[in-house]
Amino acid sequence: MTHLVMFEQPGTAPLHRGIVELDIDPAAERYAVLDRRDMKPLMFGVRPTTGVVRFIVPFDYTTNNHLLFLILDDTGSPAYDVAGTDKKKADLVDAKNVGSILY
Amino acid sequence: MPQAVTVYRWDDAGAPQIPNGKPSQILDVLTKCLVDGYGSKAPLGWTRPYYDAGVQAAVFRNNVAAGGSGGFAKFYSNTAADANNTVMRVTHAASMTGISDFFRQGNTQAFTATSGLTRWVLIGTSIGFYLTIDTNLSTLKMTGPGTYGVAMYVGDFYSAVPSDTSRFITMASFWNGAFSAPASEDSLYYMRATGDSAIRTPLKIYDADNFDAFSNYCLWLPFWGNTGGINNIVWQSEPTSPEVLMPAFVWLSSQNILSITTDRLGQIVRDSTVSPLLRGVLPGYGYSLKVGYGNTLWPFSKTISSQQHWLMRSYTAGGYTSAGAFINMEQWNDPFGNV
Repeated sequence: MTHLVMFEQPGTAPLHRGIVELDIDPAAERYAVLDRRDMKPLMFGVRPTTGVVRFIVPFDYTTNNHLLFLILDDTGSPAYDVAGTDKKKADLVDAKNVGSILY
Repeated sequence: MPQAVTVYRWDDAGAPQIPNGKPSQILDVLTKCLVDGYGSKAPLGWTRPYYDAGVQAAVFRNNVAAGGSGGFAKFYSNTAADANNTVMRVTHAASMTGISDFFRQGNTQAFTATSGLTRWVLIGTSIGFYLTIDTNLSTLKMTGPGTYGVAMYVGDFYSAVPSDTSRFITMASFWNGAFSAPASEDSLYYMRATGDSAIRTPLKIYDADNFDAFSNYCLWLPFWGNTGGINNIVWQSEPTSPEVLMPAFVWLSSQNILSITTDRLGQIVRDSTVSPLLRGVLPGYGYSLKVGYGNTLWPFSKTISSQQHWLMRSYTAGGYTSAGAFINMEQWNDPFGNV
């Protein structure tokens, strides 16, 4: 069948992005990933039951160390707490072959 | 990976009902179709991470394991009350941490199942769905005056950008962006009766790489632009020649193919990988170059290229216009090969 509208399929040239994967402590309920320079969030979410989140960030974050990861405990003792790790870099990924996005 | 389509209708055995246009009734229909199933029908495999019966609000998420983006759609009563035929709001976000806590939120639109709008149909997959609610008039036609209906799309569009982080939308109107009082044009049904949709800004879509910037997008149907509500008895008939269905483009608002606008990285939008001119297409949707069907009674479906297609109604304020937008009732395919 001839397709009236033809969409060229993606070629093999990679589309570079950053990817962040976090394995979040079971005591945490929420997590946030921020750009440490301006504190703008790149992701803010609820810890999934698996504890693992995996999502795309802009390519820039694969070449610098501008990421700040935070996990938030909303139900512990004391009633709230935060832990984090700073100056992180995203992994390089081809957006055409990312695998599962989880968050 | 093609998505299998399920069609849910008000007249299915065991189907939930919307007799009074109450938010609780609409949320019940959504919950049963998306999450729980009813009668002999399995649900679409979505989840409902947040629900508050006290304010008539529910949040739904599409199925990541089945190729969905995991975006969030929130439906809620505008006044928090469970009143008859009251205004509902709908919005979307990339993530949510509470029933009213949004991350990368899009526009908030509105719709109302006004008095008499009881016949709902939901056609969807694990990644997106069309919801329509039509009047119970027994002789409801595909077009005609005074027969306003609800028609929206919720879920992922098929993006031209691989792994687009911002492809989840809620579109109760292709006409207005954010609004709280739905008018007659705020329905996908108005698509056929209007002029050029490319100048509209219904969709606020963040960059495809999860950067904190957004662009306004429209739903552009090039062959229908500027051929809007022309009333002529000719359009009461059904076309007898073979159908030709075109995709509806998620397109950068107010731009044409000669746009030299650049994205945030300095790339011309033609070739942008973060906010391209052609961002994607609406799943399962095809608009015909053979419009008509004015006197055809709703509901109506027809076989096109061996697959059943549902005809969307076309609302107009007066006289006959024409219908011709179809939803594939069997299988949706990503033309870009990304999902």
